[in-house]
Amino acid sequence: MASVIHLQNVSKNYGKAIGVTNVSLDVGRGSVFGFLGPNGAGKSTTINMLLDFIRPTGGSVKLFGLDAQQDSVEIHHRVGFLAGDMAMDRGLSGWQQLEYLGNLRGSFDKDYVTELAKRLDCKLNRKFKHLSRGNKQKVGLIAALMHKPELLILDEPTSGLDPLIQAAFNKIILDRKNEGMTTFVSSHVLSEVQEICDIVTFIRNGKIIDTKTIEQLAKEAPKQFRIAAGDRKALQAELAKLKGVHVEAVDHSLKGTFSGDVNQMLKVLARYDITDLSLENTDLEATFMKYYEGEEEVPDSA
Amino acid sequence: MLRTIFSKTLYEKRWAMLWWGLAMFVTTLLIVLLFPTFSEAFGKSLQDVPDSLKQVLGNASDYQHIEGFLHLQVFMQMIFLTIIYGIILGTGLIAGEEGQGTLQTLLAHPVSRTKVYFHKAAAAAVVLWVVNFTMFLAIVVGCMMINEPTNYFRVFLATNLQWLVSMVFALVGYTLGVMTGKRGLSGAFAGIYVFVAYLVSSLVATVDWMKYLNYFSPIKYFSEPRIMDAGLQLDNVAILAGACIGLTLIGWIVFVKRDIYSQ
Repeated sequence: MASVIHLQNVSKNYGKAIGVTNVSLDVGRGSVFGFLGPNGAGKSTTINMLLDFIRPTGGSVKLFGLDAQQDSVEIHHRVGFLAGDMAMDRGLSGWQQLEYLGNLRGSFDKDYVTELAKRLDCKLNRKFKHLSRGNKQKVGLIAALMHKPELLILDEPTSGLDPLIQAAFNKIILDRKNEGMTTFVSSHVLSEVQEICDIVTFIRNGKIIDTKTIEQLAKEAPKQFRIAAGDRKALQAELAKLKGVHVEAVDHSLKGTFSGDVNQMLKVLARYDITDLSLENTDLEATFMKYYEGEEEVPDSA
Repeated sequence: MLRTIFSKTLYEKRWAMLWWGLAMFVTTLLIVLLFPTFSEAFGKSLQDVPDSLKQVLGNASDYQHIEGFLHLQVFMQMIFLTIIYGIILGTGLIAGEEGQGTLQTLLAHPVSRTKVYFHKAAAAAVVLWVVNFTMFLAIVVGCMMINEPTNYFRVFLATNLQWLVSMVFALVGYTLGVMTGKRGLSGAFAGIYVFVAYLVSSLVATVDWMKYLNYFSPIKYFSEPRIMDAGLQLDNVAILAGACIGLTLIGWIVFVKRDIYSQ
């Protein structure tokens, strides 16, 4: 898969403060790439370098094989960008805003903009200053999508927005994916992006700490269980001996997580009189949290 | 109007341009209409004023003819309004937008920083020229109303030189804003520069050592010599235009190289 984004040992220092250090990553064409980390981890710094708002102090940033700084105008023709708190001219209506930005791109497809507005249920005749945050984000998303960009860069686009808008965002991104277009989306919450991403990279303290596919994450993520059994204490003792199982007694049942071999657990359960058993979906957030916790560095696997 | 950065900037400044222009027109017209009163009463009372104060207020003879009155009471007063508006305008165009985050939105589109920089500077020049031009119109209308004809071509030249002076200050604000990304800071520095320049221009006749500082005051190149009396001096135009070009180039070089931060 050809790289749409290629970062090689990219660093950015703000005087004594460090933005990112030796960040290397590749985003393949047609993928939806999640860029995850806590606030201040270096996500926006990386995105700002992709868009040539800021310049790296070391390393190289390439999009479509072009230099992010030297070829920024050509790159921006092929990129759509949406920030989490998109700022636009307060005095212009959504439509005027889009018309202006479209003119800067050299074309303004009114029909496609109307279609996107309808799809997102976005009112474009109101002035930007009178719009709610959700509607501002919708205008921003239309601005980012209206030229059908090969690459869409989203910097925490839906944080704080209601689930309906988030679902609309996700639907559009998945449609783009089906059309072979690339999306790079940053977030500090995995659940916001796990439905749309193929691959996620975790960043903390300005360093890439891990890169995994969603399938890998799901496989490694602990699963939650709740069991009601006849001899509860004995079962708890046996389950606790299994590798990767954490179990505790809650009310009249056992509750816990396991991330090991499910067959071993089933063999134990088969010996008991089980009256109820529930297994919850994979909790990716629990896996994600391990990247947030602790200060120890995880080797760069990006 | 929303086709280019230049035309869009004019569009978003249309109301400010209208109100500032209207304020300039009305204020200038009222001052010109007061000329008959000034020439009778104020002229006589200045005869016994000390020389240092005359530097600011003018000589009694200045109030006896419309050209002297226009220089002292119209141009030398109104120039500060256009300078203040120039600084507000200059600091708002890039530093102000960077503070609001709209500059980042603009730069995420396929436009070079050079284009953004020069389109906005050009729009500022047009807006400021229009605001200055309303003064020319007010003087013409006012002079006709009080039946005091003057050399309107020189009034036009003086208005344009005033525009050039206000452009220098606007570009000081613009360039500082572009360099720092901070509107308040650049506005404060430009404001201090205006104050010092005005102080130096006012006191240079009585404080000898200030004559060196006066070379750095754009106001000097407007008021020495007076256009209404001596006509336009091309060397003054060249110095002010050179300052504008120099400031524009400095700002441009910094802007294309520096980081633009998200808010």
